[in-house]
Formats: sequence, C-alpha cells, structure tokens
Amino acid sequence: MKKDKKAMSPIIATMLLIAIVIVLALIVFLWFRGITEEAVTKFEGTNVKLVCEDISFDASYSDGNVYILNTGNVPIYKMRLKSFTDGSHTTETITTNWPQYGLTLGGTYNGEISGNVTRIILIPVLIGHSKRGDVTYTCDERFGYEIEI
Amino acid sequence: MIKNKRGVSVVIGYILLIAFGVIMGLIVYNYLKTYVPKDTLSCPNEVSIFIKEIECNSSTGNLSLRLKNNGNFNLEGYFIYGTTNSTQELAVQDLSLFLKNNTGPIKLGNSVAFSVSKNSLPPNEEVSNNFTLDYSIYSIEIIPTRFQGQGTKERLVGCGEARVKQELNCYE
Repeated sequence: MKKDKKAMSPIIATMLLIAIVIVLALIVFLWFRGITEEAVTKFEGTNVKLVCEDISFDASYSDGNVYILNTGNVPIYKMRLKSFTDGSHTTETITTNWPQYGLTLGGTYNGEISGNVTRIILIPVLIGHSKRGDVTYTCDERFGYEIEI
Repeated sequence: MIKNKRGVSVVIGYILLIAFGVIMGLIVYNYLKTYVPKDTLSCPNEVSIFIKEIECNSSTGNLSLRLKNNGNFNLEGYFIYGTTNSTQELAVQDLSLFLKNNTGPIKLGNSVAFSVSKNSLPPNEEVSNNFTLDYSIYSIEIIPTRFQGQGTKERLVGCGEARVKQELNCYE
C-alpha cells in the first residue's frame, strides 16, 4: 500500500475554490444585471409589456392600401407588418409614410402594401425607457391586428 | 492539526446573510414593481357623441355637422376623419385641417375643440361645426375627446369606444 499518495496541494485547492466562486458570482451578477436592464417602462414606471394591453387601434385594407387609426391613448411608435403569402411569411417594419413620432393620440396612417399577400398582421412597437435610454419594444403578436385579404 | 481554526464569526455571518437578503429583495422589488398595473388614462364608459345633422355640398366643399353630447360627461372636442374613396372601410384622412374656425371651435393638435375652455360641451348640449373640404369624402368618423385628470395633470384622451361613423352621399 502506498503511503506517500499525494493529491492537490491545499494552496491549489483554495485557488480553485476561489476561482469557481468568482466565476459563479460573475454569472449571477450578469444574470441580475440582465434582468434589471430588461425592465423597459413607459408612463412613469409601468412595464411596457403591460402597456401593450392598453393599445387600441383599428386597421383595414383595400385596393393595395392599408389604413391604420390609433383609437386609444397609447402612442404607437412603429408598426411591424407580418405579410403572409402562399406558404411563407415575412415581417418588416413599416417605414414609408410612417409619421416620425409614430401614431400619437388620434394619429392615422395609410400606405401601400406590395406583393401578393393573403393575410397581414399589424404588430405595434412602443418606445419605452430603460437604464440604457429609450428603447423600442415590439408587442406580442396577440396584440396585433389581423386582416384577411 | 490546527487547533485555532477560525471562520467568520456568527454575528458577521448573520449580518452578511441579512445584507445579501436585503440586496436581493431590492433588486427583485425594483424589477417586479414595473409589473404592478397602474390606473391607465382612459375615457369613462358613459362618454357618447351623436351626429344629429349633417349637410354637405359637393360644389362648395362645405360640410356642416350638428353634434350632440348624449353621454354623461362633458366633452372637449373630437377627432374627425373621412374616407376618400368608396371602397375604403376605415376613415383616416384628417378633416380637422379644414375646420372653419371663425365659428367658435378651435383646432387642438389634430383634433377639434369646441371652445378654448376645457371640456366645454356638457351633456345634452348641441354644437354646430363647419368645414370646407378640398376633396370629396364618402364617410366620416368621429372620436370624441375630453380632458381627463391623471394625478395632478389633465390630459387629452380620445374616447375610441364612443366612435361614430356616418356614410355620406352628397359627393357621389
């Protein structure tokens, strides 16, 4: 039986332990920082995800044009347009003719949609505040407005 | 064997634990408080407007409206939109640009206010407004507005739930 069997020296073991703790602490720190920074707020501290529920707008489509009317009291900064053609879809942000500051209270938009689309979903994008400054937030698709063409 | 082996004292241990708990609690609180719903700025349900009379003249472009506040709250004014072709379902052309403002009402942003004083149209009262349009319209939509208190401020809100639509046949 070997008597002089050696493992790691206590110094190495301590260093490893400290290194592991530091790495774990960094991971936890970065995770928490991510959580706090992700909190995008609007209207004096309301999470923008809740504000999405208060959006109210009406839309229609005729003769290749889409018409949007903001009937609520939440300004819509941008609009994502999800267009469905046969078997595929594309999503883009409406830029042509879109008002610079978005659809404010009572704001309207009309613009042309190109392509052979069969269905569109209009998904509102809001602007909120976070620690990084003003950031945009795209609402969930369930808050969008669907139009069959 | 080391006999005087020492770790963190019990008191320091508790202090560290409590401090860690408080910091974690603050971080979580700051994040979760954004999810607490607050009173949103919206119109009362009993806001309503009614287009009592409408007259239009395609040759002069004149559009006359007689509006009645048939709700339970005072109104500030309204957004007014028109459709420019017969197939258009949603009116989006802002007609407040064509308001004849020598008749009392004023333009407030992209809306029409009944007068310079706030929420000036009380329930059951009527008002007439005139417009001179540059182009033909096929229908109009009106969304009433009012100033609504939020904290110490009063803000203009649109009452989308009380929107009214009227088809026109004078420009055909």
